[in-house]
Amino acid sequence: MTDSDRSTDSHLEVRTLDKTYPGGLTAVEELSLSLASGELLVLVGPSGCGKSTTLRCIAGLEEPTDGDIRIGGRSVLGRRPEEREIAMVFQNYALYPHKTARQNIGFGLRMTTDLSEETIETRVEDVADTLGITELLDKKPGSLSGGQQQRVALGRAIVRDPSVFLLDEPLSNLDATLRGRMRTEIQQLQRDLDVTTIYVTHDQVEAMTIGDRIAVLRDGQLQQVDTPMSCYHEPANRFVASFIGEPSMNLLDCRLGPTETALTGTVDYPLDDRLAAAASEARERGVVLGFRPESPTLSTATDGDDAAAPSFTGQVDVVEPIGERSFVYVTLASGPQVTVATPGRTPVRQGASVDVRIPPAGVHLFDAATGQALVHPDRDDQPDVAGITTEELD
Amino acid sequence: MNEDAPRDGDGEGTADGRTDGGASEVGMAASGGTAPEERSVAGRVRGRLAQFGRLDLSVYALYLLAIAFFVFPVLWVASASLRPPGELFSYPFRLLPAEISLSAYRRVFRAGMVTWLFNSTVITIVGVGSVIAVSVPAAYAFSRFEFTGRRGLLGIVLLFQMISPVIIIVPLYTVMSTLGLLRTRVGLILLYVGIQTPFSIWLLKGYFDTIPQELDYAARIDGCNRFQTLRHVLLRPVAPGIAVVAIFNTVLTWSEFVLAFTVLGSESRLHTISIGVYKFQGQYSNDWRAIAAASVVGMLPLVIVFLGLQRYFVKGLIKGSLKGQ
Amino acid sequence: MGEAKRKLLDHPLPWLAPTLLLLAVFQLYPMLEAILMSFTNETLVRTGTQFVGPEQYIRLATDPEFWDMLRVTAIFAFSSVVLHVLLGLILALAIDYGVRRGLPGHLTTRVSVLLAWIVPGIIIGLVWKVMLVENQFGAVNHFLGLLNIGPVPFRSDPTLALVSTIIAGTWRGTAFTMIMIYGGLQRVPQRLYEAARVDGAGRWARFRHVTLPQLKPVLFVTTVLVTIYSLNTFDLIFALTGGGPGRATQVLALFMYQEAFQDYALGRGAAIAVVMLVANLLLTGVYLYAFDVGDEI
Repeated sequence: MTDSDRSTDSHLEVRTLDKTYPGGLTAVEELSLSLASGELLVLVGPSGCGKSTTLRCIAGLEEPTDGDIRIGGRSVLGRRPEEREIAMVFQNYALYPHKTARQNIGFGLRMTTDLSEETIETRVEDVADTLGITELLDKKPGSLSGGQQQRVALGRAIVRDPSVFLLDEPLSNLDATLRGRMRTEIQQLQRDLDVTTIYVTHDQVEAMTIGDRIAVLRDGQLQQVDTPMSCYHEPANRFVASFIGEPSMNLLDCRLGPTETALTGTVDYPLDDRLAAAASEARERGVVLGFRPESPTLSTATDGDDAAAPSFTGQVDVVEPIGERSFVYVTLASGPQVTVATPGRTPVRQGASVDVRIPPAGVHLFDAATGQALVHPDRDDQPDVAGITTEELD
Repeated sequence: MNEDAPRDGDGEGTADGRTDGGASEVGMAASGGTAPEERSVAGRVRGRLAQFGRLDLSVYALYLLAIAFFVFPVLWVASASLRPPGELFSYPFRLLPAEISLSAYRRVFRAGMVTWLFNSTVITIVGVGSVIAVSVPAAYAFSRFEFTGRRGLLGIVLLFQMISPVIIIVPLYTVMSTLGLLRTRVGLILLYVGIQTPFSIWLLKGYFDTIPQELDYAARIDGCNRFQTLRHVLLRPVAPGIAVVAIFNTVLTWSEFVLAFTVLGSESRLHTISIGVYKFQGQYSNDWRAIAAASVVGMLPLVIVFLGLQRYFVKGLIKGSLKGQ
Repeated sequence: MGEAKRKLLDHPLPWLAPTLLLLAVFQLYPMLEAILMSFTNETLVRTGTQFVGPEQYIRLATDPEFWDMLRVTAIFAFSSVVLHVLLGLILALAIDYGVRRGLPGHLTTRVSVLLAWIVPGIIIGLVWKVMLVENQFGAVNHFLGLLNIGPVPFRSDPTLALVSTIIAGTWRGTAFTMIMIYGGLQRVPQRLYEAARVDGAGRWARFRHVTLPQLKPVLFVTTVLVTIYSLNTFDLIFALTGGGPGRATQVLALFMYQEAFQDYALGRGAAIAVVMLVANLLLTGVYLYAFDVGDEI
C-alpha cells in the first residue's frame, strides 16, 4: 500500500546516524533514511527534533558521532561540504550581504572550480533566467524582497548542479501568500531539475503538500517515513497522529474493559470485533482512542439517527468557523474536550448540548504505554469531507 | 538650571506644551487653544513662542553653557598660541589676538615638533593596524569556535580590558628591559597592541556575533576554508566594527603618555607628541604662548580627524561603550 | 599540504595565538610580577634584591603620607564620579530632548563635549594650566575678576589645586558618561512613557518613575567604570600640577610612579600598584556582576 520500498537504488542514504554534542546533548539517534534519485523527502518535526542537525551532517557542516552518509553509493564522511556535490538553501537565505546577486550565485563556482569567468557568467545567467531573476542580478540582497532573496538563494544552490539539494526551512521567512507560491515553485523546480532533495520544515501542512514522502522526527528519533497520506491516515504512533493533521487528532486515554469488548476510562467506547482484537494486544498497558475531527458527527440532543455509532453527550465550548468548515470544541460529559469538524454553516452554537457520534470506522487505537498504533480505520471507509473522496487524494 | 534639565529630557516627541500642559507646563499651554479663524499675526507669533516654551529655553541655555565649558578652553589655547610676544599678559584683556603671530609655533617647531608628529603618526598607524590584525582573528575565533576554556579566556580578556596599564607600569618596565625593547618604537607598538587588544576583541566579537552563522555555513558549502570565509564573507559585514576599533585605538594611541614616557624615556628622537609637549612645557614653564602652541600641535590632528569622522565616532562610541547590554 | 593547512585553520589556537602571546607577555606576566615584586626590596639603583615579605605593605600602612595620598585619591575619585555622572546625565537628557523635539544645537553640543574627550590627557593638563594662569591675565581669573573675585591661585593653593584637577578631569570624562547614559535613554521603551502619560504622569513624574528606574542599570555600570577610570588617573594630573603643591594632588598612580621611577624603589612602587590592582579587581567584580556579561560570553 505504500511505496516506501521503491528506493532499491537509493541515491542518498543515511545509515544509523548518531549525533551527540560534546555537552552530552543527543541531537539525532539511530536515524536511517534512504532517498531514490530525484525524490523529494520532507524532514518534519517540532523545533529541536534534530532535523536541521541531520541536514547539517549530510551537508558536511557537522561530523556525525556515528553512522554513515552515502551519496551515489559512496560514503561521504570526512569529505568537505564542497566535495559532496550538495547544495543548501538556508532559512534566512544566508546571502552574502556585500555581494550582488550575480556574485552571490557565482561565488561557489569561483571558489571550487577552475571555470573561466565567461563560463561562470553564462551559468549564472542561465540559472537567473530559469528563476526569472535576470533583472535582479546586479542588486545586493539588502535591496531585494524576501521572495527575490529566496530565488537568489535557490540560484546559488542550483548553479553548482548538485546531485543533492538540501533545503532548511526555506519558506519560513516569507509571508503566507508568498509561501504558498514559492512552495509550488520549489516543487516545480525540483521536478524539472530531478534532483534528490531533502526539505526540512517544522510546518506539517508544508510537509504534507510538498513531499513525495515525509519523515517525521521527534527528539532525534525517526517516527515514521511514508507518503503524506499514509502518515495522515495510518500514523505509526501517537506522536505522528497528533503532529500530522490540523487540527490534531483527538486522543482519549482509556483502558480495555473487563469483558474486552469496550474501552473504559475518559470515555466508555464499545468495540466491534476488529477493534477489540487490536485492543487486546495492549490489554495491560491501556489503550488510546483516536479519531480525526472529521470523523464524528454532531447532533443536537433531541434528534437521533445513525444509532449504530456510539454517542457521547457534551457541551459546546467554542465554535471556530474557518469558512467551508467549522471546528467545534466540545467538552464531553465524562470530562475530555474533543474537536469536531462540521460543515461551515453548522447551526451549533456555543453552550449548546450536543451528541458526538464517533463511528467505529473512523477510530484509531494506540498502545497507551508505547504509543505504537494498534489499528487504523480502513481507508475506504473514511468519511468524505468537503466533497473530496479519499481515493482522489491518494 | 540643574533642576530643570532632568525633567526636560525625559524625551517625548512633539507638541509637549499643548498636549500635556496640564501637568507641569501650564504657563506655555494657554495660547495654543485659540480657534484658528481668529488668529492674527500676533496670535501666530505668540503661538510659536508658546510652542518654543520655557523648557526649550532652559535646554538651550544648557546647550550654550555646555558648549562654552567644553569648547572655550580649546579655543582659548588656540587664541593664546597665536599672539605675538607680550600680548597675552598686557592690557586690555583680549579674547582674540590683536594680531596673529606664529612665533610660538616656531619655538615648538625648533624644539622638535616634526619629529614628535612623525613618531606619533608612525606609531599610531602601525599600532592600530597591528591591533586590528591581531584582534580580528581572535574575535572571529571567540565568536565562531566552540572550545573548552572559551568562556574563561573571554573573562580574562575582559579583566585585562578593565585593568589600567598604569598599574602594571613598574613590572612592564622590567619586561621591556629584559626583552631589549626599551627605547624602541617596535617595543612601544607591541606594548600598545598587548594593552589595547582586549577591548578590540570584545568589541569585534560583538560585531561577529550579530552575523548569522548560516553565512559561514553557506561559505563552507561554497568551498571556503575558515580563512577564506573570514576574508571573503565575514570581513565586509564586520567592517563597521573594524572602523570603530580603528577610530578608538587611534585616539588611544595618539593620546597615550605614561607608557610611551616610560618606554621611550630619554631618547628624544623617538619622542611622541605627548612626550614632546610634556618635556617642552617643562623647559618653557612660564612661556604660556609656547605651551599653548605645543598643546594645539598635540591635539590638532586628532581634532581634525574627529570632526571629519564625527558621525561614525558617535555611533561607534555608543555601540562600544554599551557593549553587552 | 592544503589539507594540513585546513586542519590547522579549523583549530582555534592559530587564530588566538598572537593575542594569547601578547596578553601573556604584556598583561598577565606583569600583573603577577607586580605582586611578586611587592614582596621584595627591589630597586633600580642596586642589585641584590631580597625577599622581604609583607614589609613594603607594613611600611605603607604605617606611612602617614600614604594615607594622605589615599585620601587625596578618594576625594579626587569621589568628586569626579559625582560630577561625571551628574553632568553626563543632565547633558544626555538635554540632548535626548533636543533630538526628539528637533531643536537645532544638540549636535553641536554633543560634538563639543566629545571634543574634550579626544584631547590627549597630557595636553588637557596643559590646556587647563593655560586656562588657570594665576594672575589677572589667565582666562578664568579674568572672568572672575569681572565679578571682583581673585586672582585665584588655582594651582598653588593645595585645596584649589585639587579642585582644579577634578574640574579638568570632569572636562575630559563627561563625554563618556554622557554617551553611556544617552545610549541608555535610547533603550527606554517608548510605550512606558505613553503608558505613564495615559496614567496622568507629568514630566517630573515620568522622569522619576519611568526614566530613572529604567536608567538604573546603566547609571550603575557607568558609575563603576568611571570610578575605576578616576582611580587610575595619571597623565592629566601629571601635567597639570605634577602632584603638587606639596603632595596636595598626588593620587596613588602618581605616587607609585614617583616611588618607582624617581626614587627607584620598585618594590615599594609595586606594593602601591598591588593596592590599586586590588581596588580595580574589586570594582571589576562589581562591574561584571552588574553587567551580567556571563550571558554574552
